[in-house]
Amino acid sequence: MTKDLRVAFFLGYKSIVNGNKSIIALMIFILSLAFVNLIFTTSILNGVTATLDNQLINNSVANIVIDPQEYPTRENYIINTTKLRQQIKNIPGVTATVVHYNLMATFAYDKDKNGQFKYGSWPVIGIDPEDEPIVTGVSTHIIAGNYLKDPGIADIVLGSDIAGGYGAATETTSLGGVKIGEKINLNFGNGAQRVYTIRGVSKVKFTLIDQNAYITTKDAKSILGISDDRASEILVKINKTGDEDQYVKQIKKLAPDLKVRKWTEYTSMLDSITNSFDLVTGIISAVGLVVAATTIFILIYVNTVNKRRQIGILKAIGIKENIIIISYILQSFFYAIFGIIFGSIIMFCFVAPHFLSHPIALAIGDISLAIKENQVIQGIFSLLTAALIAGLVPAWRAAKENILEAIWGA
Amino acid sequence: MNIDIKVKNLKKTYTGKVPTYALRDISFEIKKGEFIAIMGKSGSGKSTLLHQLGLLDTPTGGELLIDDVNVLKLNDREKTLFRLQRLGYVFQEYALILELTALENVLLPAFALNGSHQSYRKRAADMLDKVGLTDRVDHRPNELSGGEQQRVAIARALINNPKILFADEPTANLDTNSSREILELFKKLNKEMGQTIILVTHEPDDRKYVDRVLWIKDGLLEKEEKIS
Repeated sequence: MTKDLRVAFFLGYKSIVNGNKSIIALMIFILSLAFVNLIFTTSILNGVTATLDNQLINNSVANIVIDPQEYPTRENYIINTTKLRQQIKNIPGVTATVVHYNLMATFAYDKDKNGQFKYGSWPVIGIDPEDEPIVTGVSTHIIAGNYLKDPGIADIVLGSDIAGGYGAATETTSLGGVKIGEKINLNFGNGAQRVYTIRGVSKVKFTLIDQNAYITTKDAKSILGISDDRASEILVKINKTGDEDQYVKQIKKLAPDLKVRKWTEYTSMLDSITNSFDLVTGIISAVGLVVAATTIFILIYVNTVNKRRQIGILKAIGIKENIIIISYILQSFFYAIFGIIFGSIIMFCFVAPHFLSHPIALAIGDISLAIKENQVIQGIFSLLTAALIAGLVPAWRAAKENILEAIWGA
Repeated sequence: MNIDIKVKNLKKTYTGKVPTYALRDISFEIKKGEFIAIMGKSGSGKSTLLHQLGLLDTPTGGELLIDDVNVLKLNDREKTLFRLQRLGYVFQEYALILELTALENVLLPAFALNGSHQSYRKRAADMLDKVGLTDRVDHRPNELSGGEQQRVAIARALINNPKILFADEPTANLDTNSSREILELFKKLNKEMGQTIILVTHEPDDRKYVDRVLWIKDGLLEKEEKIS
């Protein structure tokens, strides 16, 4: 067997070294594109789900959301939040907690000061300007004016989709382009009315978040008539995303009546988007692999058909079929390995850096490539397996062919 | 035994809508060291006969003993090894491996038989020297003339010391001078090395190089002609 391998390697090596350089270069180029296609499509779809995940965790609900009791009676607020937050903070691995006050209001803004108001209804979240940046990242996405500051009475930060003028998909339903420092009227669901000064505009590039407005907890509590430490929800940040389940269990032990959810459960709509993308990623990966395998198969098949006469000659002079088949498999491995190497260079040196500096702007945020190590490894093994099959089948067929038919093409 | 090949009632029929009887009950013997020509008109079955003798094709019936081995009972794998160890071939169209140099083409059968090419480089170079290509060892087939390629093919056919050398119209694509050189080379190998050679040719002039001619007509052995 070692003897056969040596001869097969010799024939394969000579075929590559002394073969038609243009064809070899073309085969490697096509295989490198097949590899890039395999990694790129999955990475871009991973990028979509990663962006969705990051937006939710970093700018909206953190890792875990604690909502008020639902059974046996539905409550509007979580009580004794100070004590509960302290207990949660004591759990090892919990980075921080914040309380939110969730309101809904109708906004009225007279842009041209001519009595022509534009109206719209959006969520308003009461936040602690000092604590909030530890848990969510809206404060780092202020695109005009400033973030809220304590005490911040009668100050408001608007999401860009509310403010308008920042090219959002919902531009027509926005306030049409607010100016920093101007006044805006809010009528809350409970009948309270307030006039706020617009301090800033935030934009995280995720429509669901950019349709929120932010006021201070003091303001929110005054509107809701809360004088103690009740809150609408508590957000919990942990230091390792993915470990939420164990923290949810521990928090549920501390507050068995409250609704404790991971970020993944928080919005069913995003879950369905993520699941859909996972499905699409799987389908596209499978299709990409079939395309890559077919490409290799066609290339190797054409190559072996072109060398049919040579295969016949080799058989005629007494070279074993196994040696011929192995030599073609080695050649297809060579093409696949160099296709993977050049594909990796294209992917990691050109495509990935390009998308990092020029992400695709979608309604859920800036999408870049999320290249997962396991998918790259899977891509490599898939391509090598495809090369094995694509090298084996045509070489096996050619090697099994009648010698005279192979030589004279009968 | 002094017999290299024994053929008895050899048949080859190509099946189809109308069966073609390419070889019909051919019987003959070839002695060790003989230089035989198989001659006949185009389509007479001479190449078909050579292909059966050289184990490149399987006869429909009959018996074939080569070097005392009933080769028709060998399986494909055994036939391959038999070809590698005991038979050598020279085809009409040179049939060299294009990616290999002259030297590599010659040593390939030895490498396949013994698993080492380094130890056979000298022998391959000697074989090329014997066919007059000492200065062409590192040339690839596309850098050689037709006659030179055919001489490389002869050197390759001889590298494993085959019992029998088969040559299927080896001069068909060569000019007169090259053809004469190749046939003289065969004659020299036959005389000096005692090599059994079976040559298929349609050139009547080639008879002068051989010991005996087997005349084939319509798939039958028409006559045997001894050349003095």
